[in-house]
Amino acid sequence: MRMRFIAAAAAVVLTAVASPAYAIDQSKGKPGFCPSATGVTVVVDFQDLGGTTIVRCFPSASRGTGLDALKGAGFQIAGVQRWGEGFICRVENRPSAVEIVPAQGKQNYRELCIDTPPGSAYWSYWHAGNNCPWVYSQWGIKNRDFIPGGFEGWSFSLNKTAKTNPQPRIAAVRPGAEGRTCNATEEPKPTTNDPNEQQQPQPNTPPGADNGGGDGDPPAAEPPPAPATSAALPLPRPRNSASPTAANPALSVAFTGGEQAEDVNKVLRRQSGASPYAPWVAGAAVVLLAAASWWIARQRRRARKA
Amino acid sequence: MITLDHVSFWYRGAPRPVLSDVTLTIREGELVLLAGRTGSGKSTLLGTVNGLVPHFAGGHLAGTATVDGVSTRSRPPREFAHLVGMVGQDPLAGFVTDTVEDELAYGMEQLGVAPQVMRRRVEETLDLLGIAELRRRPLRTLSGGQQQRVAIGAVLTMHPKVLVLDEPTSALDPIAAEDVLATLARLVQDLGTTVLMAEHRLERVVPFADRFLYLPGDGSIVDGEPAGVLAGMPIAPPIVELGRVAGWSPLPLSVRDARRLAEPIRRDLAAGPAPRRPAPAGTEPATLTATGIVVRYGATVAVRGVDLDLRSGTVLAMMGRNGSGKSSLLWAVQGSGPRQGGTVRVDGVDPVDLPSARARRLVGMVPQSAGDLLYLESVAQECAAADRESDATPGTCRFLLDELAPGIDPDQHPRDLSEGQRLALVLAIQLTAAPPVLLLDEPTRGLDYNAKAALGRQIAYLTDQGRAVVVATHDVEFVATVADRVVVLAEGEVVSDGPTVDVLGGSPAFATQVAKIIGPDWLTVSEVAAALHQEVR
Amino acid sequence: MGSTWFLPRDLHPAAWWVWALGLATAASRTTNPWLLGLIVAVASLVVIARRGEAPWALAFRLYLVLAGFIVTMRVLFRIIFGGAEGSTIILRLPEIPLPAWAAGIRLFGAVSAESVLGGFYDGLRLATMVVCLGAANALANPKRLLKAMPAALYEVGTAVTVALSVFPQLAESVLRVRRARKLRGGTGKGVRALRGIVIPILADALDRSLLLAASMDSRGYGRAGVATTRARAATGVLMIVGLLGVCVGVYATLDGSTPRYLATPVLVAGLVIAVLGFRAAGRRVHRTRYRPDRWLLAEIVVAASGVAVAVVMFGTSRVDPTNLNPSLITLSWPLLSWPPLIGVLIGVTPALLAPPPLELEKAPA
Repeated sequence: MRMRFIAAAAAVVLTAVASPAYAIDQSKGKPGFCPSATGVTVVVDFQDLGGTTIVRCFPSASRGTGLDALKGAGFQIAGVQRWGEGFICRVENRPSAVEIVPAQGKQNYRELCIDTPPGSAYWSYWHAGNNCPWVYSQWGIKNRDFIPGGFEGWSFSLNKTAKTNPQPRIAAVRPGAEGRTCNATEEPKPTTNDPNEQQQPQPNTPPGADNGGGDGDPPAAEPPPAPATSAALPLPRPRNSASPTAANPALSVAFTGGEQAEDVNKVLRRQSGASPYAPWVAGAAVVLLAAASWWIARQRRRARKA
Repeated sequence: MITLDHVSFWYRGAPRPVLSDVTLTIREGELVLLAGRTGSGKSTLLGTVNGLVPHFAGGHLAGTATVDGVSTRSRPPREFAHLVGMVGQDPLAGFVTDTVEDELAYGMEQLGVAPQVMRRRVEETLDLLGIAELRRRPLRTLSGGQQQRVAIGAVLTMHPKVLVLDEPTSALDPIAAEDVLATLARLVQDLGTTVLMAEHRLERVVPFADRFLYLPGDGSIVDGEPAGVLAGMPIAPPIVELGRVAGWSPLPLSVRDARRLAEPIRRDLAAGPAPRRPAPAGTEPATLTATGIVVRYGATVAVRGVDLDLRSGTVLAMMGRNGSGKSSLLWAVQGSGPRQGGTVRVDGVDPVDLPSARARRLVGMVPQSAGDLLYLESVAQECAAADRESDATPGTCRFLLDELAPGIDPDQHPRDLSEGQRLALVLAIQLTAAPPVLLLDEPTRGLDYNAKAALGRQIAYLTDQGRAVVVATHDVEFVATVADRVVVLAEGEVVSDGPTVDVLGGSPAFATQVAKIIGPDWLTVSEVAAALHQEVR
Repeated sequence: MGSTWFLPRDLHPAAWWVWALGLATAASRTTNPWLLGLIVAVASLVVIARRGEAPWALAFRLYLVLAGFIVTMRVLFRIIFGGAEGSTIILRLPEIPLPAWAAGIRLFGAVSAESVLGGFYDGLRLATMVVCLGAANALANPKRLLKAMPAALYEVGTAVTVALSVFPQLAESVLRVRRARKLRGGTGKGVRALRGIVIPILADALDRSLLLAASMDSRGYGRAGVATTRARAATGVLMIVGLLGVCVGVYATLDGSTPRYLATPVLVAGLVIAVLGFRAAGRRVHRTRYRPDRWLLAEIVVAASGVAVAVVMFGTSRVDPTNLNPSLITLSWPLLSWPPLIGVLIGVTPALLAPPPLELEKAPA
């Protein structure tokens, strides 16, 4: 029984090791901006961590959460152990567990993804409607729906305050849609009031607190709905009719679609120094120790009886 | 070594002093025996030696008590730990740790004795007391005699100059008591320790004593050679009483001396008829019949298929060393204790099948710790409760109590009664239910000679009423005076069963002093006295 | 040394505690099931090889049962309250709608493999720590541990010892009195019956405690030691501040997310202050110990093996954190590298190198 279990375990290990996974799951999403208002564009900006900014599209016609967008676009993410995927601590294995993040007040800080990351080094979460400025999200990724045709942004905030949180350095403008006005709608209401699922740490005054809006088709100019009443959370401010628009796309940094990124699993294995034999040895050691325990117990029982 | 100078002691509010103007000096290496009735101040006197009286017990002490030149007034008892070793009546209650070795070391740890010295002293003490094989045993698993020896060892390791013992053998069976006493004698002989010991059962201890202190109970003290003091004492061991009857002088204190003196009496008595005893009634039907009683505690068998029948108007004594199954058998017969096999028949029913209120009307029992049955504030309340519990006419209990022990103040708290009075009260409470059979478990424990004599009369009163009485006891002399039949148990089995004279006279372990001196047919002084009187006539 | 090394003796209880706490600390740093399983196996082997026959030693299996219970509960909780973390749904239970005030709590619903696995890892970590503590309990004689306490805590130790011996006596007392009540036909109910039992027991307990106090007093308990009130107060403050510091320091050290300046410096400062306090308190006590447990080479080996496990785990968490906390995002068998594996195996040393325990002499049946 035990042997069969181990064999099965081994098989799974081998398949897990052998499966050709890429950093970007190319089977999901598409590189670059979404070409149309169907789907949402996800921007990941590593900022001070270094590396190219990645832009990918989650071409989904249905609605979904920020998490759906991030995963659907093919990004490899990790949530903290305590809260799971409700709190993203790594995107594309950055900051990796072996990389020292020069966070203020923390010597030799490494992101272990066990508890919530410190306010001086975390992934800040943004969103924007097409042609709208980036908005720091009040909600956690599982609690807000992405804006169809809009943007989801992930920007690493290192040693920044609530006021200086860096926006993604890609303008939230779909190619070919330049110059249109920002038709902001209210940020979708969260599905729960659980503060755990709110984005933390929360800035006091998010930059560009005005909500962006999608250019949903048809781009009807809806009257601004009455602000939603929520007891627990600050309300999103009502839309300013004279809304600012997105930054000039010409100022955006260079980006890729993540096609060249290295396989995260491979990187992980290399970084950890994991050995494919170690689990086997560990399993064998457990079996051996158990057998030794049984044998010693028998010997001692006999000795006592004698 | 110990000096008491005009020592008097009062408890607060007591009308008269427990000790009044006691002056005495005890020299180094003496074994001093202290005797007197319960409540005569023995424990108080012992307590003054290390300052427990009055530092711990309260009350007022006048005069000075000094040990090795240090007055007990100036320091608390703990500062005398290295001088005076105190051993109480119940060794288990005084144990601080839980294994033998730790207990032996405890006092030395308090004194700050160096570890190597401690180790050596523990080994020496283990050997001295013959308990080396018990060293790692938990204290609770030891027998009474072993516990008492450990308690003595625990104070000996501190190398005290004085050893004070309060009734060290009162809870022990004869063999265990002999062990303890032999140990004490050896300490006096070999180490020159001064020993001050209170004891009820003088017959065992008197031969060892150098000096004898008798407390008559009025606060004064009689001090002198054992033989001299005993001659003038109302209470005395059988050997002394025999000596008085025979007119020997000086009084013999050991069996050996007495045998030498008793040569002519032995001859005279051997010529005459053996003492008459009522023939054991064998024909009348048994009041209680027990067959195949088995009591087990887990894997331990306490009682192994014992048969027993009790006849009305007779006293059965149950003997055997501690742990031989006496108590278990009594509890099983009564029906309140566990019983894994066998049947009991009283009036055609088994008490175990009845509710306890009805079972006690068939078989009454006084347990070893009789005080457990008492829970009210006064004797009168206890008696009233007993009448209610037994549906007896109000006043029954009080009447019985007056028959057994006249003159007990009804307003007294049961806990303030003497051991003998408390026993009488419990006996009266149990008798209120009028059971035809009465079981007494170790009733003689802690009783002095007077109380034992009173208990003997009470038992005679019960048999006169036609009850069957069982007495479980270690006290051979008591058995010889009250019992018609003796059953000896060992490891839960009956090893001998027969008329008292056959069982006691024939065995060196159970023989009374009189039997040892005169011969196996003669058990008590009164028998000898009666025979001698006849001859004189 | 060599010839006496393997003679049976009871090891210093603190050595076992250090060893077990080392393993527990190591377990607290990882959720890797390979490592946790290995730690449990190592602890079990050492317990089976080196435990005595005392009752507390036999309680080890209870800890194993408790560990199993913890893991089961953790997994069950994940299934009952929101187990949809992750994408591999393995079970779809009907979700029970809850009223608005219970927002944020979810009952049943979809259960994902990731969330069940997360519960399992988390539970396994706690369970392993419990097993480590159980191992310490089974291997170290608690009474000897009391004896090994610093002199300043002597009174506490005595109180505990006395209390431990009082409980069986009290139980015996209850049994005896209840039996005696039956002799008086005491089948009554209510307050009166209770009183019939409680009064004699209390009287008995009071008598016993008086006898014990007299015995302790006449045997020199509390004999030496006179300290001024100020000295006492100073000692107390030192000890409390020191212990607080130790608590904060230990927490900060074990919890990776607390600022580092709260970790080692506070821990060390707390230790120093506490030791000063203990020294001050111990100085006014003039007592000695009978056969004190000595700290010999074997004790060092045992304690060091436990510390080594913890150190290796701390070390690898610097270079190799990935494997200590396997990712739950992509379902795969947890990876493992050599250093932590070898490190945990060091913990098995006592099973080979500690002297065997003394056989307990049995009381006659």
